[in-house]
Amino acid sequence: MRRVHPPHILLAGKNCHEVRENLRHLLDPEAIKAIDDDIFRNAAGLFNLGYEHFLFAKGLSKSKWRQRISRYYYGAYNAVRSIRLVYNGHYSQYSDDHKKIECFPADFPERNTYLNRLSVLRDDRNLCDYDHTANISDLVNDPDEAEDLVEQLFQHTKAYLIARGVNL
Amino acid sequence: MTSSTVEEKLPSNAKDLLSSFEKKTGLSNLRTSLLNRPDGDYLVIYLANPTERLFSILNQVESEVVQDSFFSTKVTLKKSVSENLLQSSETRLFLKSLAESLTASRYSFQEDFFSRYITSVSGAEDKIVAAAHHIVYGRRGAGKSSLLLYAMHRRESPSRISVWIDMQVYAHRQDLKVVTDVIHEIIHQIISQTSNPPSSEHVLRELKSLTGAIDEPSEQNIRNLFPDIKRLLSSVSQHLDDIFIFLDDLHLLDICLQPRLLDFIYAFARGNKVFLKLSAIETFTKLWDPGTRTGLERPHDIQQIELDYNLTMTDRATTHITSILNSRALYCGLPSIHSLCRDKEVLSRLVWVAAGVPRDAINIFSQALSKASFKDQKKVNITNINESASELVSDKLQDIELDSSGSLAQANILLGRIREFCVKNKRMNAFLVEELHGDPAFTNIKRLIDLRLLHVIHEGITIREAGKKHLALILDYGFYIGIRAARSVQLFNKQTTQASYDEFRRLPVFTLANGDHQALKKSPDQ
Repeated sequence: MRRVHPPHILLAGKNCHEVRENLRHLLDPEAIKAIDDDIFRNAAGLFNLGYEHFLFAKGLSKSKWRQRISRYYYGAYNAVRSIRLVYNGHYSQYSDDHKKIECFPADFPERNTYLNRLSVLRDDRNLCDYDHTANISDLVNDPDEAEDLVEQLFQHTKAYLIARGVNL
Repeated sequence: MTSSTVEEKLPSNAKDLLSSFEKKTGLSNLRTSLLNRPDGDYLVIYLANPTERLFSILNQVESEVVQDSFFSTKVTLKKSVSENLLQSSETRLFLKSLAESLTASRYSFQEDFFSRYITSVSGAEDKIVAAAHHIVYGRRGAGKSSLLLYAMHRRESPSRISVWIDMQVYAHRQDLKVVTDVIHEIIHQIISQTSNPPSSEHVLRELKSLTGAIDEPSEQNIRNLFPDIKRLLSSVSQHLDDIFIFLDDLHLLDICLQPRLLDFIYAFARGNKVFLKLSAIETFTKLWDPGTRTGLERPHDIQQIELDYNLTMTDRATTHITSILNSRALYCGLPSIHSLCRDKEVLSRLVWVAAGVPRDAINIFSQALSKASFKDQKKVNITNINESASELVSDKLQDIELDSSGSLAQANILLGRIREFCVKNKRMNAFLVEELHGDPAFTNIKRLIDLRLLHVIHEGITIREAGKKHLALILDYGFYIGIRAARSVQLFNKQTTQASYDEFRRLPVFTLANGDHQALKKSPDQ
C-alpha cells in the first residue's frame, strides 16, 4: 500500500480536497487513493482527539464545571473538524476556525439542532475559560446537558465518517 | 457577574425573536427565561420536545429578525415538560393540527405534506403513482383523499400535470350537465398548467354553453365534441410525461351517472397519457354498467386499491393510527403521543372504538383530549375515549338520516334489528352473519360497514356447515359505550389482543330476514 510522504498532506495547500483535484490528472489512481487514505487517517485522528477531550471531561469531578464545559466544547469542536475535513477538505489551526463550529454538511443528521446548540456551547465555553466573574448559573446548558449533546454528536459523527469510508 | 431570570418583561430584541418564533411555529404563550450575561442576553424558550424542525425554524428566525441595538440577543430552545402537559401550548397546537387533519383537500398542508403524511399499511403509495387508472376504496376517513394527495404531491414537475376535482360539488346529481362541467374543469385545469397551450377557446365555449343551457345536453351533443377534445389533449400531452385526473369522492355522484361520467372521460383519456385516479366508498360506487356496457371494467380498464382492512388486522391498524398521531405530536413539539395518554391501553381502545379508521381515531382522540383538558386531568384515559366514541356515533347516523334517496332506509331498519340483537337480546357487541355475496340483504350489511356503524373483525368463519362462511362483526362502540343503560353489554376482545378462531366461532349468529333488502329496489345493482 502506498503512503504519502511528509510534509503533512493538510499543509500541502489551502484545501486538501482542492490539492487532490488538481493532482487527479497527474497522478495514477493508486497515488490518488493514497491521498484519500491520508485525508481519512487525519479525519480519524481529529475524531479521536475530540473523543479524548470528551472522555477527559466525563471523568472530571462535577464541581469542575468550567473544565467540564471547556473540554466538552473541545471534544465537539474536533468532531466537527473531522466532519469538515471529509466533507469539503477544510482544515485550519487558526483561532477564527472556532467560529465555524456550526458549519455542517446539509445531510448531517439533526443539523439545525447542532447549528444552534454548538454555538451556545461555544459561548458557554468562552464564559468558562475567560470570564472570571461567571458562575455555573450563567450557563445556558449545564455540564450534564453539554455531555448529552456532545455524546450524541459523537454518535452521529462516527456514523457519518464510517459511511464515507473513514476507518474508526 | 450574576445572571437573572426575567420571565415577564422581555426586552424588545427578545420579544421580537419570541413573537417571530411563535408566529412561524403556531405555538403561543411559550415559557421563556432571559439570561443576562456579559456576552449579551440569552433568550431560552422551553418546549416539551425541541425537535430538529423547531430548531430549523429558530435558526431562520434568528437570521431574519433585525435586532435594534448594539447588544444583540441570542436564542436557544431547551427541553422542559410542562407540569400539566394537556394545558400546554404544544398540546393546543396539537389539537389544532388534529382539527386540520380531519378534512383533506388539495391544499392540505402544502409544503409540509410529506413531513405529516404517514404511509398506508398496505404500501398503496407505490401503486397510486403508477401510470395506470386506479380507484381507491375505503370507508370515510380511511385516508383515500390523503393517498390521492400523496400521488399529486409526488408529481410536482413541469412535465406532469395534475387535475383535481372534488366531487362533493356534484353530490347526488344525475344530469349530464355534470359531465360537461367536469370535462370543462379538466380542460381548464390542464390548459392553465401548460406553457404555450393550444387554443382551447372553442371547446371550452361549447362545453360552457351545454352546461348553461336550460335543457339537459344529450349524450350525442357531448360526444360530438370529443374529436376536438381528444386533439386538444393530444397536442398538450405529447410534450408531457403524463396527466393525472384526480376525482375525489366519486361515490357522492348519483350512482347511475358514475359509469357514464367515467365512460365519457375515458373516451378522450385513452391513448393520451391521461390517467384517472379515483377515490370512493365501494358499496356506493358503480364503475361499470353491464347492461349498457358503459364505464370502466375491473381489472381490465382500472385497478383497485383497497385501503381499508377494518379490524381484521388490528396490529397493523394500531401501528398506523399510532404513527399518524405520533407524527402530529412530534410536529407540535410534544415528546410523543404516549406522553398524553395515561397508559398504553388508551391507544389500543382508541383503535377499536375507531374501528381502524384513521380520521375517526383522530376525531375521537381530539375530543377525548379536550375533555381531559377541561376536567384538569393530567392525561387522557379510557373513559375519555369511550365518551368521545359514543358522541361520534350520532354523526355517523346522520349519514343515514340525511340520505334523501331512500336507498339507506332499509339499512337503517336492519341496523335497528342488529342493535336490539346485540344490546338487548345477546348483550354482546360482536356477532356473526352469513356471507351471502350478491344477496341484497347482505349488501345492506356491507353498506352499514361502509357507514362505519358495523366493523369487520374477521372474515370467512365456518361454524358447522362446510361452504357456509360467516363474517364476524362488531356493532359500533358508540351504541353502548359510555351509556349507563348499556353497560351490561359484554365487550368482545376487551383487551384488544388478537382473538382466537374459536372465540370468533362462538359468537352469536344474526340471521338476515326477508325484509332486510326490500328498500334496495330503489338503488341500482352493484
